[in-house]
Amino acid sequence: MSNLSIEHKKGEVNELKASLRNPAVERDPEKRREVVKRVIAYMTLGIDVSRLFTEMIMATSSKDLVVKKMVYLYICNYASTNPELSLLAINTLQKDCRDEDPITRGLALRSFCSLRLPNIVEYLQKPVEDGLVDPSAYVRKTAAMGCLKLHNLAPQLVLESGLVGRVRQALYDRDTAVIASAICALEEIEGGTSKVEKQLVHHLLNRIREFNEWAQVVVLGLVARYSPAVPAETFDIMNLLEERLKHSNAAVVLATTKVFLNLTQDFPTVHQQVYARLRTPLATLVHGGSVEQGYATLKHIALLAQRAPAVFAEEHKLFFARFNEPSYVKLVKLEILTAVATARNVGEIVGEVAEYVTDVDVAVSRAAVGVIGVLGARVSSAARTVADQLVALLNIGIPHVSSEAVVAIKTLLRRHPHLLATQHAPAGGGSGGGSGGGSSLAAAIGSFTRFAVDEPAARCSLLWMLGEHGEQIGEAPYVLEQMIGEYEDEPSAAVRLELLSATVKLLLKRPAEMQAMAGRLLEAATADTRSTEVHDRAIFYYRLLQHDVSAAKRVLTAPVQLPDVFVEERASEWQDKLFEEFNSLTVIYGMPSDRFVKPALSANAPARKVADEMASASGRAARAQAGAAAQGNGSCTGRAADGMGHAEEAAEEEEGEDEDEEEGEEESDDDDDEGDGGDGAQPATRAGGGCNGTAGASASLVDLLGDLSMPAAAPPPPLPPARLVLTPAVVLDSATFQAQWGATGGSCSWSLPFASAVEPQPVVAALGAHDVKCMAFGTVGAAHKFYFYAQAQPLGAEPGALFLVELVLDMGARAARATLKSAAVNALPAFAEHLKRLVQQTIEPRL
Amino acid sequence: MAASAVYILDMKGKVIIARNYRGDVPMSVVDHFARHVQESEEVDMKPIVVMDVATFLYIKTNNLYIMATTQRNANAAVVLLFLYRLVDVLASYFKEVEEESIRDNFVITYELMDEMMDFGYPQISEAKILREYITQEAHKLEAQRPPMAVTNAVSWRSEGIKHRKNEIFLDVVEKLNLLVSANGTVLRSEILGSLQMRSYLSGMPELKLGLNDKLLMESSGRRTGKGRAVEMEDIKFHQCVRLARFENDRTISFIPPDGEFELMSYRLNTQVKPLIWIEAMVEPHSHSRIEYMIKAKSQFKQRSTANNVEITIPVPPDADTPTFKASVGTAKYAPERDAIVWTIKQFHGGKEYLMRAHFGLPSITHGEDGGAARVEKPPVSVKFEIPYFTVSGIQVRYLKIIEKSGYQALPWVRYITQNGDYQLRMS
Repeated sequence: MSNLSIEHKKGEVNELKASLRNPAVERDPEKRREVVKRVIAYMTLGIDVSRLFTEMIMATSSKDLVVKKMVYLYICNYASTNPELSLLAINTLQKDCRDEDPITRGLALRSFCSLRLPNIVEYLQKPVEDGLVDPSAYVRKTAAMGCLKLHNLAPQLVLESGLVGRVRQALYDRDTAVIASAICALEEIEGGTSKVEKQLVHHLLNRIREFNEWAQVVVLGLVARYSPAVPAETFDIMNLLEERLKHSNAAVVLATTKVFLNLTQDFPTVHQQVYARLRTPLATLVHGGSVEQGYATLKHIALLAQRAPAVFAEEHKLFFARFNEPSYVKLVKLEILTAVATARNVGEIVGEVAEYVTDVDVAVSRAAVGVIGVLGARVSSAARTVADQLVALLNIGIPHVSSEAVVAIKTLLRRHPHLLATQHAPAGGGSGGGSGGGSSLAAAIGSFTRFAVDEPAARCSLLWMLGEHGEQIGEAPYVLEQMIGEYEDEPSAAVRLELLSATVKLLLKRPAEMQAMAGRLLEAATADTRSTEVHDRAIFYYRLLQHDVSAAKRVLTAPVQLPDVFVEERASEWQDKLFEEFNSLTVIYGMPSDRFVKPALSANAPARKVADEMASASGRAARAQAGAAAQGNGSCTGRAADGMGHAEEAAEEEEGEDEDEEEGEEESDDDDDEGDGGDGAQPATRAGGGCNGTAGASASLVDLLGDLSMPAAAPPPPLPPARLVLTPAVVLDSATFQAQWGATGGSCSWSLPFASAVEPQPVVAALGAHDVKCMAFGTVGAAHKFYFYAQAQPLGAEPGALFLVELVLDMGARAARATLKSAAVNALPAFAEHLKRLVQQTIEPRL
Repeated sequence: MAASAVYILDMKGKVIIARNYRGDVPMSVVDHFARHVQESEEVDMKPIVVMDVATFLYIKTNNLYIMATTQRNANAAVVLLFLYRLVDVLASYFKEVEEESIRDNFVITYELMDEMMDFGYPQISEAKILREYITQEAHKLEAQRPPMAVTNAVSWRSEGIKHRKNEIFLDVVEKLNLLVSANGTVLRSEILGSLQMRSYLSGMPELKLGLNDKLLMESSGRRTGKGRAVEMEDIKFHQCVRLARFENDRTISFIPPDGEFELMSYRLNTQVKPLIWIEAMVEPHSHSRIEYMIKAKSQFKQRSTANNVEITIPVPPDADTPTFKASVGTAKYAPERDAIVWTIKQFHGGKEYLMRAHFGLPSITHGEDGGAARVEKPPVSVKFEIPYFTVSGIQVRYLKIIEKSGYQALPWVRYITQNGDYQLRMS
């Protein structure tokens, strides 16, 4: 439809207006229908016909059902722009709700409830109530849904009017469609929190065959929340529902799956059997229906496969990709293949995945290379084959494949460092070492310069290997030398950092070859103005080496203890959460619903909402006051440099949390961090504690900052802190908490390392026992986050000082960080120490 | 579940028709979708994406996007299936579902969308039932019949259906999915079977279907003297089939809906001999020419015949000047698909045919100038159709029709085996 004709049509709207008013048209039903139809046609084209509202409302009096439908559609569409005029339609709608024809009654009631206007709420209650006891099931089901619509408009009214109770009666209606509508309405109104009664479940399950397919999904959704009293009942339900797995509707099968999984959660052996039973129906869904359906099912299988890899291990061939499948399907299949690999099938899987390396889609191709690396790392027996496979891929001559292969080799070597040693080519590895024998990893890495690997991730991986295993790679110094030569042209700061680490590490291992070039690199890096981080790291290495080379050696080239499970291999901490929300978008996105459902709309999680708001509020506060907080650290703990680092980290993390949609990217970032962070940053802090005397420059840095922030916390009152006694009678609501948090200036913070994983609930309980109350807590990424508050015992008439606390237990960094705020600045340090003791006792009970 | 709104859009993402069910997602979010459609390449588009404030779930059909938005943690399977059902229903009303037919029938489309979903919850998706009270002839001004079957116990069939001639057609269709690796090992082979019915029976007929189902044959103690029994692995039935009966004694008994429907589908994971086997020998002489020798072999019984066999062999995109020599059928170069298409109208069982092809290659290839060489290796794919034959060996033993008026009805049964996703990788 061109613009011109739309303009033309606009002129015709006036014509329509005239026609609708024309008495001749009003009398002739055929003509009237034609005119109304044209109005709707224009509406469909996106032309604004809201000006015809009055005329259209007059047309509602028509006896013609099709005209009625069109007019109601029109009113629903434009009601929100004409709330006052809509009142004119109410009369007709009310009348139609009492029409003798059930279809008309249903239509009128449905449209009436769909107007979404607050000012008509009072007129709605009666028709909905009448509708619920209508002789026609069609009207009753519409009324049950109408009750939900009404609840969306005016929740209070519905709760007070007793409508909910009437809908609950409809659960025992003789018609199944009415029951299904009632379940939908109640589940949404009550947020899926009400207790599911045994009587109801049995009533529904006995009739399940009578429900239509969509209604079955609704019923099964409800049953999934039911927990039977005795095991026998569980098995009865499962026997009854077993046949549902044969239903041709995929949604019914998935809903049944969820019931089975939920029911057997407490019977581990049966649970495993259930997986096996579900395998076949799910497999059929993957290839039986549409591509979209297959994708959704595969996502669910991917989740199940993480839980019970063994079940799907025998069916691994089912997940082999076909050439013409869409990329998103191939990527999920790769995910599943990774999960189900075992020593027995890994050979076949690696061979198959290698076929995808040449896929047209770069994303699939990259993922395939990555998966090969991960398979090698996970299944030890395949490590050797995988190593050969990856070396072959280095030579394939496709830049992104070579790059990914380098990263994959790093993944493999991190888990199996011995591969390098056993495969090491005969000494020398001269200039042509790698060209002939593609089988030697060391030679392949050494001959890196032959491959144009210019992606930062690949270069970082390569450098990590050179630094970590340089003593086994003959050509390592030459590769580094070349890269050092190109230092100024290297755009990526991450690569430059990694180059620094690798060079220094190799210097300690092979000093003779490295000394000259390491000197050149340190000189260039300390003069690096592009990145402060690179510059600082270079200075740190320089000082460390200057201070004591043997200490540097001890710190930087200490033997690494291989952990049992790497961070990226650990099951997502969301897994249980995802499982709870099985058969929903949660599984497709791989993240809990509160991450993508707009908080304002997730009616069933008000508590979580508060937590979210507080997190973002405190995020803002933390950024705004980062400087002040850092200063607070200084006075509080006396470890300025350390505290600075943490404050910065905290601020950074807040930012991360605010924009954490891109989980995948974050994870890959983490990966890189481990490359440099694990080898560089961590020893750095350790060493920083060790060499107090040499930290001249950083001391002046501290002074500088101290001067800067002096005015912010201007009067440090020299009053001796009063003895701190907390009152158990403190109550605070979240709004006040947030307001106070934002308004309170005085803050201080501390941090505390800990060794073992901590659950959030015990912390809340432990602190609660000492009168530090919890406002909200939640888990964000790898960190538990808490908000606490406490109040000091009142002194005389004056209320005691109120303390607000944000505590973050970072499982990744194994550090607890707290930010404390209070208007009573002089009482703060005492409370901070008190809290620190409490937290320490809780998370490290042995100390 | 709960979809917020449903849209039908053209390929550019422009709205043809839309229905807002819940009003919790602004209708304008569709602009995000339009941008998404225009920006991303077709292959990469996931059917479920979250953008801005809403999740978009969509399917594609005949140059249309059928899309639903939601702001809640919806049940993806329900929403996607519903969209497919919507297309089915629309198709039953106006044959081809395409932009023009929807624009021509927007009133009915609105009516259907209104009836099929309420406040984001799917309601009725049986075209047969909907047809009873939403008809193109509804435009005659007469009183409507109340929708009996909407809330009937037999929700898929109305009372009082009449046909002059009582007939029922049953098609047993099997599709063979096959994936063969470059070295000739069968990586995967599965059979997807489907029993499709067209029922033109009056009244409320009771049907009973007997198959040579292995479990049934064994349970009834009947030794399968002639013909083998088939063990179906995963069976799915239309909702009209009494599943409990099947569980108990493997009887398939049902009251069929009127008209076309899929009675049941099944899947078999058994290894079968690939019905048509292809061996491709490729001899590339770089910078000058490339030669193909393709051997096609039919590995089914001689009395059967495969019709319309089409073998597609991929060739390099820069190949030119093709010449062919085929012992049977015709070979053609399809440059738009970078492939040779060899068609054989009738391929009898137990035969072997040969085809040779020769292409010229340019003396300078793009790949060696440092650009990305084309390295993906598309597989050989085969299309075929074998009538009067099921690869699984499944057979209909009887189809009984009982109606209380006692009419005689004629059951017609056909068998056919087709290619499904039939791919053989090239070395």
